[in-house]
Amino acid sequence: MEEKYQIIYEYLDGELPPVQESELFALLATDQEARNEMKSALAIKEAVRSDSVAFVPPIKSTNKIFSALGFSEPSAIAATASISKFAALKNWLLLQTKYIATGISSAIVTAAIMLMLLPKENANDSISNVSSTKIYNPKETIAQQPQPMPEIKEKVVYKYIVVEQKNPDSKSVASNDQVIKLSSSFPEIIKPQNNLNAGRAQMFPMNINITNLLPEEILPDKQDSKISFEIKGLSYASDFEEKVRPAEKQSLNNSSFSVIYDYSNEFAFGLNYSRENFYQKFEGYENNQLYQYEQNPNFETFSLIGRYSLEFLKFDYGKIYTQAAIGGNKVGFVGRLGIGAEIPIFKEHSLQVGYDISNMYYRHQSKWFSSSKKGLAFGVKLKL
Amino acid sequence: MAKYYDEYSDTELYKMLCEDRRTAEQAFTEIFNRYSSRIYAYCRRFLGDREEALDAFQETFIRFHQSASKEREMTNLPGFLLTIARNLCLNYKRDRKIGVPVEEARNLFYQDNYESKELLDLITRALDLLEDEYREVFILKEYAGMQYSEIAEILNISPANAKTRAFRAKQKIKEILSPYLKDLTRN
Repeated sequence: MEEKYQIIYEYLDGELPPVQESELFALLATDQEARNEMKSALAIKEAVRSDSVAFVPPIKSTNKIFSALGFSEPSAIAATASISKFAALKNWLLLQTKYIATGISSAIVTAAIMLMLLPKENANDSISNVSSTKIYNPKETIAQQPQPMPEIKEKVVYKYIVVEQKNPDSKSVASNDQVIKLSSSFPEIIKPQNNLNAGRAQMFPMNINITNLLPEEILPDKQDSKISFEIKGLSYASDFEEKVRPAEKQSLNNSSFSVIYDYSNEFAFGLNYSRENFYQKFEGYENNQLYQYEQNPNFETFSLIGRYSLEFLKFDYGKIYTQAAIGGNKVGFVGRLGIGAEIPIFKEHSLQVGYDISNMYYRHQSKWFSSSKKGLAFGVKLKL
Repeated sequence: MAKYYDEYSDTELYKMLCEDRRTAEQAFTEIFNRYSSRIYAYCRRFLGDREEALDAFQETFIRFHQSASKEREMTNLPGFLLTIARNLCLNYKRDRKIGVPVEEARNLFYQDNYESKELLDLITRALDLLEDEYREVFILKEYAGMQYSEIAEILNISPANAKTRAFRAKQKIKEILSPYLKDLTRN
């Protein structure tokens, strides 16, 4: 091997000055030996990279080090590749911080408004104990103690939003049952009575034609409105075999609420608030003992949605869209990818059905874990 | 706002080693996660012998932890770890019994049916045939991913010298592997 080939190695080492690159490429273009040299050097480099025996210290040896220093043994040694992968994700997220921060703060405001419309008794119990399994919040180093089972209410109370009709003679639920009549843009929640059938058409969410129920003066001009409100139910299956049943301390679990802004015919953006479960399976050490935790807690997830509808997939009876969302909840990051269909049912309101894949990344004792699930989301989109 | 340990710099983590036990443990774990594979790769490929490499690897991290001092300003933590590892590996080599002479080993190498072996096996065996000064530069460059300037600092030589040694190491490995590589470049 001649000295003139040294630039090949410098190039592969990333230490060849840019000004010499043209010299290298000229050499490779004219010299068969140089090309062979390049192939050999690349083969050696690739072989070294694949030397997993050298790069992965045995766990026994790792444990010996930690024991000798009086430390608890780590659960596993993070592979270099996974560190760089998460570092890359982290860097990307940092770059997006200002956009995400704006989105999250808007989502929090939206969610706060929505929470005022929802029953409040369990709103803060996003992680709860189910069965007798110990529940942990992976972000916290100190494990939470098991909590007592919540008392089961004997009677289930359903709540509906009822809005006063413009025609006072109409036999609506509100007028019949002497419940609070709503005439403001901020509906109150009331208890239903037995004779609900007569007023079924005026009840939300039984009748999705909410625009008929709201006073006209509070409705925006439909022609100009690009904002819509989506309410969906979620039916998911975790990728793990679920051994712990989902926590049930959260009302309206497995439902999602979104505010969507139609930026153009093809693109839409929005904010989403979901109440959902993620089945978590992770490891951690307590007093030198390795534990594997499994839990199925409730989460409140806030995310930023981007939606793209393909022009050629728009039909008279609906359209197909793809959607990506990124956000987080109290234990980690959540990302979702999905595809869905929007089917108009009345004026500008539509039914929606979609298939989503969701991933939650979280960490416990410096180690990252992920939970994923996939399933259906179905609901309505109401144009404001 | 509290940061995760993987968000701290090497210098910050090193300082934390002198703090309370819990902080020190978390900081050490993070340092270990960052650099253990490089250190192990260096020991494993420089010494060749697995048991010796494991001993050197363990001792490196134990000595590193014992050396933690608030007074020391740690500017190149991987370099510091590799320097400890290198000194230990050199001690192991010095204490070793004299093995098979290089020429004899080279002949043994060629007696094997090289075609049936993976390139990586051949490279690791070729590394054993290199003189220490070339082998360690090759390992620091290819396994520990260090720049020539960093290698120069660890070995106390000039960057130009480090570059020359790395090139010669690769030349020697290529010479040893030439029958295999000829087949490779023909394909």
